[in-house]
Amino acid sequence: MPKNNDSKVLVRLEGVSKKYQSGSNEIVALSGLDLEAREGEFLSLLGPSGCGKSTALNIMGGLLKASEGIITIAGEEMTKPRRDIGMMFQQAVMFPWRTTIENVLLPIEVFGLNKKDYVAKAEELLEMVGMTEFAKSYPWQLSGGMQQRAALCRVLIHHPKLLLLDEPFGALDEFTRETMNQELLRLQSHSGSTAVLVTHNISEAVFMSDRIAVMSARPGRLIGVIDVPFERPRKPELYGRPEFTKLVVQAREMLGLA
Amino acid sequence: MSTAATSGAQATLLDPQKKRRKVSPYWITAALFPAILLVWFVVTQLEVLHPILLPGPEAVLTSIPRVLGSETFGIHASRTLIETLAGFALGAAVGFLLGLLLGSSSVLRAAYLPALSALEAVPTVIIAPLIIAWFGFGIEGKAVQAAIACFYAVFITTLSGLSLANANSVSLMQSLGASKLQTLLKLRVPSALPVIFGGLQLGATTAIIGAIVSEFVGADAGLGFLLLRYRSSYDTPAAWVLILCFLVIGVSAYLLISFAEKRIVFWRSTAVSRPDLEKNDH
Repeated sequence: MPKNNDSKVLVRLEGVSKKYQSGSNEIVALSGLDLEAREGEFLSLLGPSGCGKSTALNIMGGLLKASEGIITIAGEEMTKPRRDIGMMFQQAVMFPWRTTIENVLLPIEVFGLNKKDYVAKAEELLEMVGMTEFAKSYPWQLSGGMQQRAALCRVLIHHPKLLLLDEPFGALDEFTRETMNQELLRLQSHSGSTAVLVTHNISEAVFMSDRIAVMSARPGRLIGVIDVPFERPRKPELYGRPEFTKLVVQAREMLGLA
Repeated sequence: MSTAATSGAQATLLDPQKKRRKVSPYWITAALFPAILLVWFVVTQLEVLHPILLPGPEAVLTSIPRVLGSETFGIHASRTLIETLAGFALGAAVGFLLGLLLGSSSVLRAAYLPALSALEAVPTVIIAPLIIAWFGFGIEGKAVQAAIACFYAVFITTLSGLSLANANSVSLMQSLGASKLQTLLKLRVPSALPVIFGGLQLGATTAIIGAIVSEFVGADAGLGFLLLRYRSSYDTPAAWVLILCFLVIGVSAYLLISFAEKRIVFWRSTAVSRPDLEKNDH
């Protein structure tokens, strides 16, 4: 969990903007975003809807093209989706005609790698999230939380350097969501991947992150970055600590909610 | 988490009321037959129409052994079945492939969709003489006619089905850097299957119609040819027996395709809500 400034930068965004043309109006979704994520760090993009956090994430994932600015990943300029990136969405996005394990192995198939070499890895990941007995089940036989666990295994199957998480547990209930966040943190530190999480939940951002990029809406821009110094692994007791509350208040003030 | 994903039977067990109320739709279908026979019988007894125009049900039923037992029936029936099957296979394959092609390219779609749709507007009866002129009176021409009659249903359902893939799933494939072909085969085609099966159902019916109509226009064998022969000899009960044969062929095609659909698109027919598990927001 490197937090010092010397650690290597994995993702760098310089002056990244995104504009849409809506009739004769130009909508600025994201304006001049300068941001970096260091190797192994957990970075959150926090802000209200319309602040461009998902846009920024989709640009990092290569799903959207920036109107202006430069995005570099591991020193290379980003032009298209990369195999060392894994994305998770608000919905689990499981293909109903595939069993859990076949869904987990989807990236391997798309990359044209030999599935046999990854079956053991997939089984191991499923075991880590307590899904071993559901490996042969279909998504429609699983609850929403179980589907997201499988999606978590799918995003980790090819060991991506960068995890891009677009409110991955946003559709789950509060209890399942908290458990899933813990699972995510555990697996992320286990894999050593860098994670960028999009969220509008302030305490979730404080609990999960090493740093929080606070953003504002219309036009979407960066207000500031909060450093979160808490040790890892993060325990639920953290929620009760005064330092935790202090950071939540700081974020609220930056968002103009205090 | 301990509740294992066993089977869908659980869902109905939890709702016994639903089980009690459920009447097999096949009983409702079966109940229709006596009703039709009764109306038919009454109408013919009242002699609303001359028996040559509308024979009574007893005349038609007693004609069944005579028609099915005749020496040439097997030849005519197998001829029509082969024409329909070959035509359906050809038309469905062409329709599916054209659907894939136009579904993957907006340029091709803009260029050819209007022309292909216009072709569908040409009635079978009008093309039939041309087909006979090109292919003769044999099986080939009838199969081509059946193919033309059914290709559009499969084509248009494939084309529209390909656009039904869930937007998030498309983003997922995109984020993995999947090629257009990979997205097509691994996501768009499976997503389109339920709709394509609707097209196959429709196409099977139109293939039968295509084959029979083209036999009407000109043929040397087949059930349509036989029907014309019975009609011209005023053997109306026998003609009605053949109409019943067409019904049986149509229903068989429907059941076969439904059976295949349940196997192939298993996630649609077996997917049940699981009230014992937390609700999944979709």
